[in-house]
Amino acid sequence: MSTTTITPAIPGIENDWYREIVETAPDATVMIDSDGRIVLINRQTEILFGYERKELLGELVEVLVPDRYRGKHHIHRDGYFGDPNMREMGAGLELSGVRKDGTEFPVEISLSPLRTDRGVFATAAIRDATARRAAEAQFKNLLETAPDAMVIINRQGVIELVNAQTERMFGYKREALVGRPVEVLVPETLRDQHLAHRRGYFVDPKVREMGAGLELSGRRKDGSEFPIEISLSPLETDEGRLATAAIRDITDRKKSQEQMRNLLETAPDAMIIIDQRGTIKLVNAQTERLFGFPRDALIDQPVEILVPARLHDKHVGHRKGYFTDPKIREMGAGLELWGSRQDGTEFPIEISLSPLDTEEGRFATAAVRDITNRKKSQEQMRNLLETAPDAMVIIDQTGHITLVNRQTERLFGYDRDELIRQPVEILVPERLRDRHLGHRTGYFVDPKVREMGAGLELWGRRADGSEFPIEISLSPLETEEGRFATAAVRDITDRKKAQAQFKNLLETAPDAMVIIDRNGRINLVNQQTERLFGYTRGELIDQPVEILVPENLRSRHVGHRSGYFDDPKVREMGAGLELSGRRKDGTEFPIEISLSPLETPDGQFATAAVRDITERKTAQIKLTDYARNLEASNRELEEFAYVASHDLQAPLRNIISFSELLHDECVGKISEDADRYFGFIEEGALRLQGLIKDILEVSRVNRMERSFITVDTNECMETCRLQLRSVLEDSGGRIDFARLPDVKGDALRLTQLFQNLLNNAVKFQRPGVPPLVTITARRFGEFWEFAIADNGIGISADECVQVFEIFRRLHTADEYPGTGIGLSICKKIVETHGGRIWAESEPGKGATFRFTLPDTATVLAPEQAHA
Amino acid sequence: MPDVLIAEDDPAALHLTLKALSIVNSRIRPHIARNGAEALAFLRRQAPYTGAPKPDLIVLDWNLPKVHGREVPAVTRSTDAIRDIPIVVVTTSDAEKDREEAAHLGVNEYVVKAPHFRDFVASVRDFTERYLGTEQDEE
Repeated sequence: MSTTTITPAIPGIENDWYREIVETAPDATVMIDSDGRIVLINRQTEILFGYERKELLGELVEVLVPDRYRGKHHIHRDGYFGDPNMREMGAGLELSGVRKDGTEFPVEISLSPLRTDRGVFATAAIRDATARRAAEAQFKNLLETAPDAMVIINRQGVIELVNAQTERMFGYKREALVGRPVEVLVPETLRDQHLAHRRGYFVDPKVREMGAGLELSGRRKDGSEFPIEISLSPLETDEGRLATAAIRDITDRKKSQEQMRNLLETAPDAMIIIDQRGTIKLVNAQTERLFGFPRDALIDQPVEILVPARLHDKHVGHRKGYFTDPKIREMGAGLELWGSRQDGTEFPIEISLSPLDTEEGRFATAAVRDITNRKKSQEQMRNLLETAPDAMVIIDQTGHITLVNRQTERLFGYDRDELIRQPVEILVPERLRDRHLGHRTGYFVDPKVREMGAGLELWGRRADGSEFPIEISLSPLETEEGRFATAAVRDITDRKKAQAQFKNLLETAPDAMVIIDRNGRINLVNQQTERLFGYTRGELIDQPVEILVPENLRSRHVGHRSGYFDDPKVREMGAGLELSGRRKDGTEFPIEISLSPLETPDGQFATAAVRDITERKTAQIKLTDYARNLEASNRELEEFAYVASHDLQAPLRNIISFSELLHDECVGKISEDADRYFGFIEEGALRLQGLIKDILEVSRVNRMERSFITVDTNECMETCRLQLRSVLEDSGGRIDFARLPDVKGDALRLTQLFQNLLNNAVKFQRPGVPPLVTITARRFGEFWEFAIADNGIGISADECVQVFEIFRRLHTADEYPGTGIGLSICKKIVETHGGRIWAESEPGKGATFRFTLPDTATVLAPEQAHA
Repeated sequence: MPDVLIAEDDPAALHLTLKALSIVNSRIRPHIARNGAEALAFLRRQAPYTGAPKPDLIVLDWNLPKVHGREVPAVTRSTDAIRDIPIVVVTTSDAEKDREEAAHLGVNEYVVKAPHFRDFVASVRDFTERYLGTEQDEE
């Protein structure tokens, strides 16, 4: 510690310790005597006031007081000496000092008396208050500019300071509040409670932020109350610990909160408002209903209470992320979300988020919608789509694809992901896109179901750019999310091809082909139809098919036609229908029609093959005439045969008989010539009789009834052999045959057949050569071929044919007797049995007669049997 | 003396039949009907045949004028008094339908007139002996 070099002697103060204390004091210290003369100063005083010590010692202290206070200062000074006691600095006094250079500055002074044996001195500790005053001024300014009402109270709860906002808010003048207990601003019913809070606060004062869950009320001077929010902070001052309360009128906010709450309640969705920490601050009734929680169980809970446990971590991440970059996120933005009810069950939801900035900070509002039903119906729809045979494409009103099925992927060669959210024109050939856009827009203006194949020729475009013909059916789809359009797309490449083929086929058909639809409209015709009916194709298409029907039959035809479509089946040509067609020129002509149903993807059609049967009709008429004539001539022949059998034979018999009787009478009485004449008469008559018999035989075979049975040809042969026995015995001949087959036929006629052939075989024998006849049979399909071979005279190749002609004789009666009718009867018999007969021979080498007869199992066609 | 009714319209044929009958049995008493109507009248003893005997044999040509030969067996077989008279059809027709019809009507025999008189006599002998017995039997 240094000693002051210049230290005026203070009367009565001998020791230096006091001087030293003064020197070390932080403040400027000035000691004066009761006359106001400065007796002691310290170094701080010199610095503060700009004087040297010697300039001040002995001077009146008023030298340090500004002029304007100087005159009155001695009154304060005298007053102090009159009752000297300790006065602390800044106790409400606004004091100023003046420096040697005349500048003033605010000071704070504390005074203390010093009693000595030489009287009372006063020590003034003077502090430069410039900084403090500035700070105070700043504080007050701050207070005034604060947006909230600021009220500063001391430990006792007395208001120390308020700002203009406080005056406005509570309706009091500043002066009416300062110095009064703060409870004046608290509603009467809450004052006791407030008192306790206030005391508690001073025990453990800390910053309490606004809106920390406190619902407070203020009370105006007029007694009205209003909701407030308060934040408190302790304020340590020289004068002790104070408390600053920032008070905010939240009437408006309350009101808007109320409004918002109402709004929330009326929202159709569950609304949940959370703060940045993820705490639920507000929910509506829908939220309670949806999640099964009562409101109280949700408020102030982490929002994850509504999220399935398995997703908690992820959700927390999302939530934090949201608050870093909060923006409006609309519903159904592709998020698959799940909610969890109080009972732990989960359900699919859709959430739209929007940030909510309030005075209390940033919140997030979540609108939650249960999409269980929609999911289900979507799921159903998706399943339905997948099971559809066609490519299904669903687009929204903006023409963007929202859903496709697997068939679509396959058909167009895209992956689903490549299509979703793309304009549907991606599937349309580029050249048609503009037009398609127009169609699409038009469709949404007047959406209705349009079936496939409604006459539209459409094209699809694959991912590789290739095009293919398609057919589309459209239907509108109304959903909660708005209107969509469903397009079922079918690749008709194959059908087109098939149609082309079908058309080709149609053209190559020999008949006129007419295809009609259910309504009887002509859908397709071929060239033959044009030719047959005299119409051009264009004149027929889409016309009722009755255009081709004679007018008087049209109404009946309509009935037939509808009947046909009720039970469509193939009806072949010529099924007993006598039909007529009508040409364009009105002429009619007979036709035959075969019908067949034609099932196509476009529905039921009928194909009619129409054949002009004019010629056949004419031929039929001719044939009928012919048959009628034939019948008549057959009848005549029958009559002739009958006449021949009686009326021709009766006179012949008379000739023969009486010729014989006459001859007998004349024996020995007539010449040899006359005798020979009788012989000629008898011979001629007998030959005539043989001819008549043969003709009768032929007519009988012709009129033979076809009641065929199984015939054992061995029996026929035995009968013949017996008849020929004497002839064979005479000639030394032989008939050989192995076991012969059964055939189908008329036993009597077949016996006659064998008989005639065997007779010939034995008869036409070379002189002196015993006849040898061999009979064999072998099978050819349904027939047996018999061969009767002899070793006789044989015939030439030409004769092989001629021998079967009626009355064809190759030899004179002298050589070989006979009428020449036997083989033609054989031919008749064989042909009546459906077989044929022929001869193989060379002159001199014998002859072989072959004929076929049907096996027992053979079914003979009528024309075969009548051939 | 057997009574034989011969129904035959052709005089030549009738001559041959009578000749043949006389050759095979000289005792036969022939009665002649020139058509079917006469034959039926004879059998019914209608005028001019009121006193006619019941014949022991009828030799019947099939194709008779006026009333066809078929009426003779038809009436005979349906009339009790004459039902048992043998009827032999002797005709030039060998038509199957005539044979069948005759058989159906109860004719005992159907003989086709042979062109050779010898053959005809043989067949007449055959059936007269069958139905009338021989001349020797009668004696």
